[in-house]
Amino acid sequence: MISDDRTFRSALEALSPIAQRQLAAQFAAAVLPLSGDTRLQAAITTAARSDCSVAELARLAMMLRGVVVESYSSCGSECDWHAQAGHFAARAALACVQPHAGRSQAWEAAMAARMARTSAAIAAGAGTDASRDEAQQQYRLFAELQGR
Amino acid sequence: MSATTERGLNALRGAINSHVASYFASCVHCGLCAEACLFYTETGDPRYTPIYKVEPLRRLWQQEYTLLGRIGRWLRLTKPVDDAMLEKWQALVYNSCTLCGRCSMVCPVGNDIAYLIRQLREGMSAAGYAPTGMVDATRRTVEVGSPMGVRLPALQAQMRHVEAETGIAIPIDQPDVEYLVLLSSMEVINFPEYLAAIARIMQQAGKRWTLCSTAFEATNAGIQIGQSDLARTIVQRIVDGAEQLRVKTVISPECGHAFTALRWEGPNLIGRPYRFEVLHILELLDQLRRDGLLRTEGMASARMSFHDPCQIARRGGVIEPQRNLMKMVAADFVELPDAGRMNWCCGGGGGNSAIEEAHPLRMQAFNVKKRQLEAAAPETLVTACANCRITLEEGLEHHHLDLPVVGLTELIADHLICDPAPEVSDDQ
Amino acid sequence: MDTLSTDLLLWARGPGFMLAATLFLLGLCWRLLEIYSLGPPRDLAPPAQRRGSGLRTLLLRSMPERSTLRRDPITYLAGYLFHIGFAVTLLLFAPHIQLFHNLFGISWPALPSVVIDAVTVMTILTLLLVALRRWFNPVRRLLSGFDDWLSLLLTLLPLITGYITLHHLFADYAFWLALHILSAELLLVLLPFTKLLHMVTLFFSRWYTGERYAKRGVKV
Repeated sequence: MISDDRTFRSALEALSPIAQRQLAAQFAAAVLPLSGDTRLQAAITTAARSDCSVAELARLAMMLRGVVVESYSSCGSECDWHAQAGHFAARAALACVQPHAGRSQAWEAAMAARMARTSAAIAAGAGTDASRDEAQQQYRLFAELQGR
Repeated sequence: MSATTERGLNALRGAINSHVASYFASCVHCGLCAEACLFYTETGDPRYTPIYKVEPLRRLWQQEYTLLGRIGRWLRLTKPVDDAMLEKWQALVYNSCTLCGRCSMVCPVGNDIAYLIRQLREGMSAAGYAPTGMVDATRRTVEVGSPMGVRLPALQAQMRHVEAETGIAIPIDQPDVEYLVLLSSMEVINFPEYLAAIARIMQQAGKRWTLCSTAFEATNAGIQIGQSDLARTIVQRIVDGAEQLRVKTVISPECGHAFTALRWEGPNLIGRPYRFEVLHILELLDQLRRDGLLRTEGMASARMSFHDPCQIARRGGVIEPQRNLMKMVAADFVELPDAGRMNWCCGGGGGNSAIEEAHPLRMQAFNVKKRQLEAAAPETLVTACANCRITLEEGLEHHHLDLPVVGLTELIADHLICDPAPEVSDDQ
Repeated sequence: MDTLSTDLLLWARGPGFMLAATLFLLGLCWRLLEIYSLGPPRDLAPPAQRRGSGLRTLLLRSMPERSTLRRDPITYLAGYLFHIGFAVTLLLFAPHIQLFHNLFGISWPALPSVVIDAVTVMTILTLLLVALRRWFNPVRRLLSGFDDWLSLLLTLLPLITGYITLHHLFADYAFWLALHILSAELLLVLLPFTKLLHMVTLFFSRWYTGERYAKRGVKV
């Protein structure tokens, strides 16, 4: 099983676009509970389907971009780490439906999901290993996908 | 007159010098400054004329520092600057000005109107008329270490995330290295990609660097609201950290106002020159490029434009580096009209993005950016300021434009040549 | 000839002139002292590597900035027309050159009267248009006060009375010449106390701003 991000990233980049999307959806789903926004679930479920049309993805992308932009911590305001976790969950969901020129969708979703987990941990005053723990989970999910 | 108003007026008096006086004496009321200001051009509201925004400062100078003005006051021919006037001007001075400095570029008599606004803000904040959000941000920076309340554990959590992602250990509190890298809260919170990019670039270039646990924040809201004593505290913290660690150079992050504060205003705030150099991250990257230490491969095929953050380009003097860097990684780099020195502000600088009530005005002002983008028609917009980035994304979203925005440092790091087995840094 | 006019003319050319010149110089000195004795802000930041000079701004700020010129060509055009026009009528008209010769011992070639004539008309019309714009344009209206209207008047009076005098429009030549000279003297006396002082202070302002940005490596 993969145990470092270098290998992980290369492996993700080698996946087909549909596989990317589906794996991204799984990464995003894992941190969905950290967001209170109900729109994310619909987006993730749709992205996970292999028969999703380009138009549908575009529509979801537009909607999710709005969610991401709304939920940024704005410069100078006190950071609410709970809300920030939700912001990153939205970014993970957006990665599922918006292809990123040059970067793998699954990788984008994985990084955003880890930051969501980290933000939640900061909010809870917990330790600093949230990202590493989430990474381990993501390696497991990837291994399961390969297994199928 | 209340004590705070008196304090405000005293702060204004302290802000008056020969530059301020010369500017007011030279102004011929031609109105060209309005034509350079995005808040005026996109609304047509004459109150947003830059020189009008500083009327309280002008009036105080005229009435107290000129003979005719003093005679006029004595004869009760003129009204003094009072609390009501300061209150009335708050929105003009903060909500409709980002200190972008375009006005200063076009004034035919050579007035630096952005400088006048900065001086006026000293009085406004002392009188209690700085926007609440910004006052809180400054207080948090002084008390907690970051305007957004980022404490060391949060930074450490991000460091762990970045270490996992890059496989590179992030140094902190390492003495006698070449570079102290500062961050802005916005990057710690919203864009961890920035720290990851720094780590990878520094590793490839073979440069020794460090973060500082007592001074990781570069943002200086004190400069933005005009509270020099607090701005000083914030800079001093960085200076102490840098000098204790004996670094040669401090790297200012992508944040625009952090650079202006640290590079150009800092020594005046603390009353002495630094014992280290200050570079903007883009200046460092360009230096590495020139020295052959920044090795990239592949080019982004998407058509790209660069949005010059006002405090970095026009007001900071960093204009060429970003172009050199863009040409390294963008096969189709097109300049926005008026790019570089005369670029139009994103609308969120100077603390503006922290003012909720200014949101509608900001979105209206964004129309000028929209026109720039329509003219150049890029597929990706690149910039080098976390606040610009978010303000741009908000504006794009509001105007239903589909255009990704990325940070330049991140973009460069994406194209770094992958070195073989990553070495664990032995600077532990 | 009307003795009142002659007396007025004699006074204007003699004591009036001495008074006006003295008050002008005193006023100018006082104003410059008032402004520049306040002292500049200190700047301890080291300059950028490729540092420029404030001299560039001092000279080049008279050129229009491209994007602003597109938005507002009228202000630039009007500005050039009446400044150059005023300078031409003041400095290249034979009787004025004669005056400078009497005062300072130097002289230079004059432009033909007919040219000066046209320039005078153009300058007056431009100033009147500026006045109209100042009244009707919302930005200029908001910025304008007593000083702006006074300055327009002070600048127009010598031009208008000069034109009247030159063309012998009214019977009493001496009277209008006297008025012309008096209006110029009024302009001199009041200049340091109006925005017309920019004629001197703009060099300082451009220099200050130029230095500030040039030090940072920005070409302004």
